[in-house]
Amino acid sequence: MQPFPRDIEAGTGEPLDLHSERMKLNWGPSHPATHGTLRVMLELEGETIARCDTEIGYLHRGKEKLAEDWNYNQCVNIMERMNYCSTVINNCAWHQACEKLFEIEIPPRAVYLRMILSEISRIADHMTAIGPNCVDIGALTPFWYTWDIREQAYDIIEFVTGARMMSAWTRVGGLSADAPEGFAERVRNFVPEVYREMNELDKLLSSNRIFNDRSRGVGAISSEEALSYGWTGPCLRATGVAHDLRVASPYLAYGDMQFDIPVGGHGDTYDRIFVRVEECRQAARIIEQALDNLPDGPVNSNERHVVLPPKDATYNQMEGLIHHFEVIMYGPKAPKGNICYDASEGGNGELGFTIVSDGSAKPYRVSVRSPCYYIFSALPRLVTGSLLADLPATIASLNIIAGELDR
Amino acid sequence: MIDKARKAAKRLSAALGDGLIEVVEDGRGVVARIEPGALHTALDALRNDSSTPFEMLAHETAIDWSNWPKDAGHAKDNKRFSLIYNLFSISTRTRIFLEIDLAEGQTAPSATEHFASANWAEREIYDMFGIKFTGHPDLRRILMWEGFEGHPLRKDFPRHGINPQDFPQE
Repeated sequence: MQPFPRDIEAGTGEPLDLHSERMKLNWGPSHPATHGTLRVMLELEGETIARCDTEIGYLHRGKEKLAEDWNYNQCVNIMERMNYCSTVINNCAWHQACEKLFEIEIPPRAVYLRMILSEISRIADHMTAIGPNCVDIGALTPFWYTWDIREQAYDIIEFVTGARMMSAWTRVGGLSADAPEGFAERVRNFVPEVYREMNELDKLLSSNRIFNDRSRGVGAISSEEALSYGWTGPCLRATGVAHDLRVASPYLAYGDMQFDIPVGGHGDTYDRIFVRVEECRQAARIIEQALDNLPDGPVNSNERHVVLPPKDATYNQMEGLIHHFEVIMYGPKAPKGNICYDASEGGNGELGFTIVSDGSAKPYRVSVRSPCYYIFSALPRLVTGSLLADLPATIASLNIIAGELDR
Repeated sequence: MIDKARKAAKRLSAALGDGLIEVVEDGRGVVARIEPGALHTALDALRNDSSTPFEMLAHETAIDWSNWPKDAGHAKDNKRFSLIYNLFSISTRTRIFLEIDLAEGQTAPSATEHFASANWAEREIYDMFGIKFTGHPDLRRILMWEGFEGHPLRKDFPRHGINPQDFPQE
């Protein structure tokens, strides 16, 4: 074929060799659209991704090793720094696994408070996923709506736990503190806001032509493949599998709550975003029901060897002081030789802990089953053959949190 | 749910024969301890189980028993490592665990041909414990960098690291 005139270098008459080589492109580890420190290496053919490989570990802090040196209450501080967008879920998941290991139950008020705060945290997590995802594909307006509701969620978390992000709120056998006065009222005012903003988001996104073109069919995966990759959470539900640990193995009081599992059908970016939007509505439903049934009573169990005694006993009774000292100085001791696995539905899916106890106050081995790790392992499969511009949209819709990915 | 896991373990023991050491129940649920050589058969049998198909390998991890106190139960004789396979059946909401024991230096069969999730899980185990998997397509370090010495989650790896320049003190 004759070269087009524009492909001939002026003056020489020689055809120019354009785009005949594949281009290698490095993306990350520090880039605004990676939402964390992770590196993607690409081989491009024009604008199409021909090959993709990933490199992780830039935020590896060795949490599993650190946990072997800290006691069960101290570990909550490192475990919540995994998914730093929904720290309360991490708190609750870690101590729920610990309580299974210790074979103790927590009182009903603690159960309900944990559930309410987990759901508020889930809303914050999903908003953190949706907002930047929209920004990555050029829609700035939804970001302000999501950030508004996220701020309100964080305000409540701060009101209850004393910290906006790193809450360290739970303890083995209960909570560090009861919810302050005015908690129920504040949460009740928050719930209609969630519904309102979700409707606004829906209107902003679902009929937006550009958003539809940029997200429909982008980064799609079938449910069989998603299962084989070990996907869980909203990303798996977007492929059409109605799997949610809150229903599959009900923990806390989720068994008594009425809520639906939203599912998608195509497993693409669009479905992943809207599964999250719908999940926020369901979270608001759970919060409403939990508030209606919020029991009174203590927030810590009666296990004296595990839980701190009341302050009155610490200051006025010898035994109380000794208990306080033992729990603080040595930490609660788990039964000897126990191994347990316990999983909760985190913001991104199944957040599970395998804990092995040798009878001391520190875990012998902790293994974290982090949802992001398995979701991100499928990235090359998702983006190979698609356009480069679809890569940020896909990564953001998976909601990869580097802290949870690398641990 | 646990009944379904027990029944699945019964069917598994029929499929494995001598490959199955024992079926125990602990804080995890139903755990089938098997010989390393029987892993492929076991995963195949569980994945294509008639009534509880385990579609997902939710997690795969290892435990280093070398510091384990003698009186704490779970005696692992002379085998240093255990590999734990955490399988979940979405359709029947059932969880079952497989456990294989490995001596120091012993390789394990890779589960990548059955589940794609085993790829990164086994890379992490190789990275953290130095356990090698036969049949793994891409066994590289994943969290630590290439050229890093040692395997951090082994019990004999000091918390502060081997090379002071890797982990600056003060």
